[in-house]
Amino acid sequence: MILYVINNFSTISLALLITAGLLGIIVKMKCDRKNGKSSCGSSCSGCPGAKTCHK
Amino acid sequence: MKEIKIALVGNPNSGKTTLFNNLTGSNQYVGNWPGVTVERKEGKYKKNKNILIQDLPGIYSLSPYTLEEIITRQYLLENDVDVIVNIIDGTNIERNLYLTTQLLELNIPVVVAINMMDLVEKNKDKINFEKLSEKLNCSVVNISAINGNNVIDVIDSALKIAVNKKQIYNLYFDGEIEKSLKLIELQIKDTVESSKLRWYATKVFESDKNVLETLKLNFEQKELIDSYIKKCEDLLNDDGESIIIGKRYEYIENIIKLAVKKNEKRTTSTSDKIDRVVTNRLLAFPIFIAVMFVVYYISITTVGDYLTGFTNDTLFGTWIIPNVTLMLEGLNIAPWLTGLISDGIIGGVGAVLGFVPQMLVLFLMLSILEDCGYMTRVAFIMDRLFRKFGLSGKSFIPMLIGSGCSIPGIMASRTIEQDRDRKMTIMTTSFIPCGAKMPIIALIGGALFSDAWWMAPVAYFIGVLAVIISGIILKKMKVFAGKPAPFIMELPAYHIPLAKNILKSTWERGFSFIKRAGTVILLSAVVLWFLQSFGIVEGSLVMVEDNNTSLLAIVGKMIAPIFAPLGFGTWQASVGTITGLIAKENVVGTFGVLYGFAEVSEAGNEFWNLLATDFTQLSAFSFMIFNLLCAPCFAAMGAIKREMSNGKWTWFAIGYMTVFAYSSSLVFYQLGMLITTGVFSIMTLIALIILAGFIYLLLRKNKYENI
Repeated sequence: MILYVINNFSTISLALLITAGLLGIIVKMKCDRKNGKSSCGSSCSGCPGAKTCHK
Repeated sequence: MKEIKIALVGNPNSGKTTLFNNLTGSNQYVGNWPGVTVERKEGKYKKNKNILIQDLPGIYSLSPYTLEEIITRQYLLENDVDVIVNIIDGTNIERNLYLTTQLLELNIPVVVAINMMDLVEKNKDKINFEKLSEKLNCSVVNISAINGNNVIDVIDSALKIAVNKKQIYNLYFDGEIEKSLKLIELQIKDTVESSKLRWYATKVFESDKNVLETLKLNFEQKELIDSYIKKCEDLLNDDGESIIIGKRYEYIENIIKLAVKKNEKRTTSTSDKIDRVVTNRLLAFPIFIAVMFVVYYISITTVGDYLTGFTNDTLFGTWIIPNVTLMLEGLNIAPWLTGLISDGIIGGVGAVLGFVPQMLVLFLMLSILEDCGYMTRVAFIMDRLFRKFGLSGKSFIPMLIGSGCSIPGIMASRTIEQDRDRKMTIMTTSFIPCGAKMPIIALIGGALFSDAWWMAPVAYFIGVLAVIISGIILKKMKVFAGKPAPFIMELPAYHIPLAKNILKSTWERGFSFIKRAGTVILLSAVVLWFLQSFGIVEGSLVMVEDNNTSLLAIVGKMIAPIFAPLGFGTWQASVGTITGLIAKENVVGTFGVLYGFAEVSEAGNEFWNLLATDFTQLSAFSFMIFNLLCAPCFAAMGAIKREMSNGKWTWFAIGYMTVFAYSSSLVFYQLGMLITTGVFSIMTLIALIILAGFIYLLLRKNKYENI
C-alpha cells in the first residue's frame, strides 16, 4: 500500500488537487445559487431585473 | 447623523442612472434607451454613507399606466423619502416639467437637477435657474451627469432642504377646479396622510383607479365626489384627467416663457440630420441590416477571427496544451488523469474559451451601437415592422438586451404593460442569438463553411425572422389577440460613445462568459469526459479506447433518433444539443471533449476537421438553426418561469420554442435534401406537411383582429 502511494504520489496528489478544485467550484456554485446568482451570461449591474435574483 | 433617503426621479433616459453611478460610485448599467432601470436600485453616497440614494425607474408621470410608473409611485407614497431629486433633461424641459408638477404635490422636498447642460449650452439655449427656482418653489441645480459637473451641488442642496421635510406647493388651478379639489380633500382627509392630501385629491379628480381602490370610500362619499367632479367637467366641457393635464401644461408654459429662452436661430441638429437618413421609411431597414452584417462580420470573421485564431493556435495549441502534456508526462502522471486534464478540462474549457475574443469584439460593437444611440432608433424602426403583426417596438428592447444574454432580455419584458404582449415577448426574446450562441455559430461557420462571413449575420436574422413568424402565428390565437400598445419613446441625441461605458459593458458581459467557462462548463466537461472514457465491457466498468463504446455513446445513441430527421442523428451531436441546455456555449465545450480539442489541436482546425466528418453543410446548418431557436439554457428557463409567474405558461413557452425549432430545422433539412439530392422520403412528406401548416398559420385570417 505504502509502496503504491509512493509510486503514484504525483498522480494521487494531482487527483486530490483536482478533486478539491472541483468541489470548490461546486460549493461556490451552490453559494451563488443560494444568493440568487444563477449561471447567467450577464452581470447584475447590466440586468434590469437584478433584484429578482437577490432577495 | 440620521440617515437621509434621497430618491432620484425623472423621465426615462434623463440620466438618473448616470447620476446615481456618479454619486454612489456604483457601476449600474447605463443604457441609452428608456426602460433600462426596471426596478429601483439602492446605493450610498460615496462621500457620506448616511445618505441613501434610490435610483427609480424612469417615468413620464405619476399615473399608473406602466410598471415603472407603478414602482416609482408606490415607492414615493409608501416610503419615508426625505428628498426627491428630480432629474430633468435640459434639452426637453417642457415635457420633463410635467412630472415635476406632480412630484411637487407629494409634499416631499424637491431638488430639480437640470441635466445635459452641456447639450443645452451647445444648442445655445438659455435657462434662468433663479426664475425657475422661484416659480417652482424649490432648489434648481444645473448639472451634466455624464461629465460629473456640479453633481455634488445636488447633494448639498438636498441636505439643506432635507431637514424641512415639507414642500410648499404653488401650482393652483382655476377657481372651479380648486374648489372641487378642496371639497374632495374634505371627503378623503381621514383616509390619507395629511401631507399627501393634495396629491390624493388631484388623483381622485382624475379618477385614478388605483387611488380610488386604495381609499376605499363609502357609497355616500363616492356620490358626493362624483358630483363635484361632474360639475367641474360640465363647466369646462372635458373629463377630469384632461382638465388637470391641460392646466398643468398651461402652468408649465407660463414658467417656460419666463425662464427658458430657446435659440431661435438653431438649425437642424446633427442628430436630426442623421435620423433623417437612419430612420427614413425606405432606408431604415437596409441600413439596419447592413449595420448588423458589419457588426457580426467584424466580430466573427475579421478581428474576432484573428484573435480567436491566436487563442486556439498559439495560446492553446502551442503554449498551454503541449507544455501541460509535457509536464504531466514528466511527473509520471497516470494516463487516465492526463486524459482528464488534457482531453476533459483543457479540451472542454479550451474549446469554449477559444471563442472569447470573438465574443468580446461582438459585445464591444453592440455596446458602441447602444451607447451612441443607434439601438434606440432600431427599436423605433422595428416598431413599424412589429406593429404589422401585432407587437409594439417596446418588444424589441428586450430583444436588443437579449443579444448579450437572454436573461436580462426576458426580465426587461416586464416594461410591457399588456400581459399578452409581455408573454409573447418572453416567448420570443431568446430566438435572438445571445452571446453564448456565438461560439456555436462560429464553430459551424469555421468547421463547415470555411469561415464564411455571412454565417453570423444570417444567424442573427434567422432569430429576427423567427420572432416575426411567431408574432404572426401567435397573434392569431385568441389568448394573444388584441391591438399592440402604443409605443412612445424619445430618441436621445446621438453622442460619441463613452469609452468607460462601452468597455465596462463589454468586460462585464465577457467576464460572465469566462467565469461560466471556469465553473459550469468545466464541471460539465469533467462529467462528459468520464462518461465518454468509460464503458461497460464484459459486465464491468472499464476505460475504453474508442468513445463510441462509452457510457455517453450508449445514452447519446438513445437520443440520437430524435434528431436524425433534422440531419444530425449522431450521438455526439445529440449529446451536444442536450448539454447546451446547461449553457449554450457548452455545445462547443462538449464537442471539444468528444472530438478531442486537446489531442489534435496543434492548429485548432484539426478539431474542426474531425467535427466536419460527422456533418454535411446542410446538417450543420440545420444543427445551428435548432440550437439557435430551441429551449434556452436552464438559467434563462428560470427567468421565463419568474417572469411568467405561472408553471403552465412556462412550459408552454419552452414547448413552443422547442417545437418551433424542431419544425424549422426539419423543414430546412428535408427540403434541402430534396433539392440537393432529389431523394423523397417519408420525412420529406412530413416536412412538406409542416411547411404547409406554417404557411396556413401565417396566412389564415385573423378572427380576433378587432378585439
